Amino acid sequence: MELEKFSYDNKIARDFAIATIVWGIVGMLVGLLAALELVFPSMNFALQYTSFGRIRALHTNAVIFAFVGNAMFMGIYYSLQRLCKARMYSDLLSKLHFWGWQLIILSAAVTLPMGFTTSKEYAELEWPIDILITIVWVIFAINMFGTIVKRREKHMYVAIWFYIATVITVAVLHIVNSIELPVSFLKSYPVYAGVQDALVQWWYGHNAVAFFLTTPYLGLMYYFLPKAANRPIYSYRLSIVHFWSLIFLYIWAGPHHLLYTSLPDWAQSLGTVFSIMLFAPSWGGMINGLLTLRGAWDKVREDPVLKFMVVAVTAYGMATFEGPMLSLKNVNAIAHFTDWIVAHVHIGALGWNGFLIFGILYWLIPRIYKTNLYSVKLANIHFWIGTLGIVFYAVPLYWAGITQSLMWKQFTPEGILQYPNFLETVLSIVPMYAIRSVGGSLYLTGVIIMTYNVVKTIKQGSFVPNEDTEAPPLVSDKPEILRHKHKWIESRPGKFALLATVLVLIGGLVQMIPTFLIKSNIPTISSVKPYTPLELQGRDIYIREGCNACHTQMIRPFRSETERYGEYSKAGEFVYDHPFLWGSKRTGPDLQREGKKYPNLWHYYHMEDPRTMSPGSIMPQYPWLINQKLDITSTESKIEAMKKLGVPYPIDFSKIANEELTKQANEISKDLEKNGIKVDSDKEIIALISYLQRLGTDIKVDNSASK
Amino acid sequence: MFKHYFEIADGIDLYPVISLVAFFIFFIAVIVGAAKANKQHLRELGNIPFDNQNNQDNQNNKD
Repeated sequence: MELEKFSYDNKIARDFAIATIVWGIVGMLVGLLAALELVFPSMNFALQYTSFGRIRALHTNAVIFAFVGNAMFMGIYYSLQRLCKARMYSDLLSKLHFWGWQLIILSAAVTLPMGFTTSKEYAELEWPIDILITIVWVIFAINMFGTIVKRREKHMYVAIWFYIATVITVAVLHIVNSIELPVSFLKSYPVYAGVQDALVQWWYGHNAVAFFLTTPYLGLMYYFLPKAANRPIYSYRLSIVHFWSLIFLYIWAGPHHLLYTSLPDWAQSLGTVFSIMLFAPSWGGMINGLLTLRGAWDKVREDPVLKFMVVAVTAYGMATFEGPMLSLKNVNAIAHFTDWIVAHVHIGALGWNGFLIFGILYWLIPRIYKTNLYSVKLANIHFWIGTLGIVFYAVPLYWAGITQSLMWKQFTPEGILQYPNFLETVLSIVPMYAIRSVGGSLYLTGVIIMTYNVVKTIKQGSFVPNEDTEAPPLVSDKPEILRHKHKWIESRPGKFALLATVLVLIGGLVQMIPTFLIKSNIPTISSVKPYTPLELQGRDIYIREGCNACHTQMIRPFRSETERYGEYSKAGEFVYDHPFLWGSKRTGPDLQREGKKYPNLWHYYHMEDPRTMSPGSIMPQYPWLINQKLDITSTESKIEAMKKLGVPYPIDFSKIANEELTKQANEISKDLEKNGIKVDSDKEIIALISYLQRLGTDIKVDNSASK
Repeated sequence: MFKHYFEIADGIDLYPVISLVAFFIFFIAVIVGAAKANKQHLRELGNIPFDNQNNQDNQNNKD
């Protein structure tokens, strides 16, 4: 048969490789800064742009979407062309994808420190950037499916299945979770409220882990691990079962992020059951990866590429064992809201994603530059320093998480909380935070060593932007195809994609439809009223400062929590919360019943400098709230937006909203003045105090749930 | 626009049952499908990353 001559586009893979290294260093530096701020609160230099609540989102976004995202595209662009025996569908689309993605990252790096955030974890970016993400993702999808359609290899290798599932599911997740009503250019409210918003968010959040951090990387594992070991995957049969059961199961497991919250119980149980089942396909994949190296373990001793990959796959196994365990309600009761979860995700991020990326970079860079790696020794040093970094990162946080959780739950023989002061439990784990930042520094040092090694490798090699190759064209042979069912689907990308979409949608729909449609799922509480205009503005400041990064608003029905914080949270309390602010981590205490606990004066001093009210506190200072004037030009449009979303404000309330706002603000500033603090009523601090004083007070008035 | 609650119905217990049954049937189908797959064909599929002899990727590891 006549061979067709064509070339592979190495340039796009190279560009994404450089982007992943650059953004990786940036993202990890920001992470290190955030870690240090928890030990030395003054590390933010009392600047709003570097305060923990804002840069925590910057760190997670940079690491997930910039570091892991760019590396995913690097690996996909390199392997997809070779697996399809075709150049990418369009060089222009590849370029648009690359630069569009970097633009998204750049806008995130600018908007997040400025406080433009939706507050939804890993979906913090505001609506114009959400639209840009959608456009760039569609470009990527067209380019990918175009390449698959014009492929010269009849069968789609298992890696491509994982890529297809990634492209489709991320699109679905992103769109559903980003349905929001714009209020202004960089401000929006999600259409969902309270429990529903929480369910959608964690359906998204969990599956972002699944389909952004896991499935594409499993695809990369199925390509690069066999290539690096120079032997085919251990069991292709296992990979078929692995793929279909993984994508089917993953999508159901989101509610395990909401155990013991106000989410309906049946949804919580569903999340638990599917999370436990998820263990099987996850380990199937891990075993498939590790057994690929059977008979080649001697290579692992010498080749840093394989070393990185083995640790990556092992970390995947650890994290996916831990995940189902954390989904058990009794384990979750201890681990949730603590640093245990932070340790867990870093086993995934540093071990699984990071180490797989490093392994691929060490393998790929010398190949596209037609040279050998500059220094195998430096790569080995990177491996050991990185591994130590992971250990020194994770172990102290496991320790901290369990210690703090047990302190929260400890009662004296007389039946009162042994550590009633939350701060005491924080101070006991600050040394662990310090060791964690040492671990993070080690890991970052390894990355810098790698960067040097990669630069040197690039300098000594000569880049091959277009790699010439040839392959026979694809001819159709229909009768043969029908012989095996799976053979049929794996050579039909369109039908394959459709089946994968249906599977993914089933899980999402079964969870969401009942929660959205059935009234009995969320008992309404008659005393719960919409926020006043001032409180609404205060709530948006709470969101802007990322308070929910450290403070939950979700009191679980445990005696240790109701003793400490008050009445446990009810689903009906959140019906006007666009977005929900339950949080996922308690670096500070829960705030659900914070309202009226302390006088306005206390909040004023506490926000100005937390250490005046709570000596030793690691909370940042917020001096700018006292100086900055509240922007009340937005009040009318915010109230209008809330009304559109179904919040029952009176007719034409938006017109008089600012009058109401000023009235309430004057009351607070008068109260402060009575206590010796002179502050104008138009300052941001006043709005924030009004929100904090409102928190959880609705059901303190009257405990009569209508159902 | 978006209504908080619609006024329907009971039968909530049905959903977890649907999910279990759906998964069970699907999983069995996948297992059966994979078990019945042709061994030779699977071997070919597993070797796709190594197919192209002209490709420099296919050189042995340099170690």
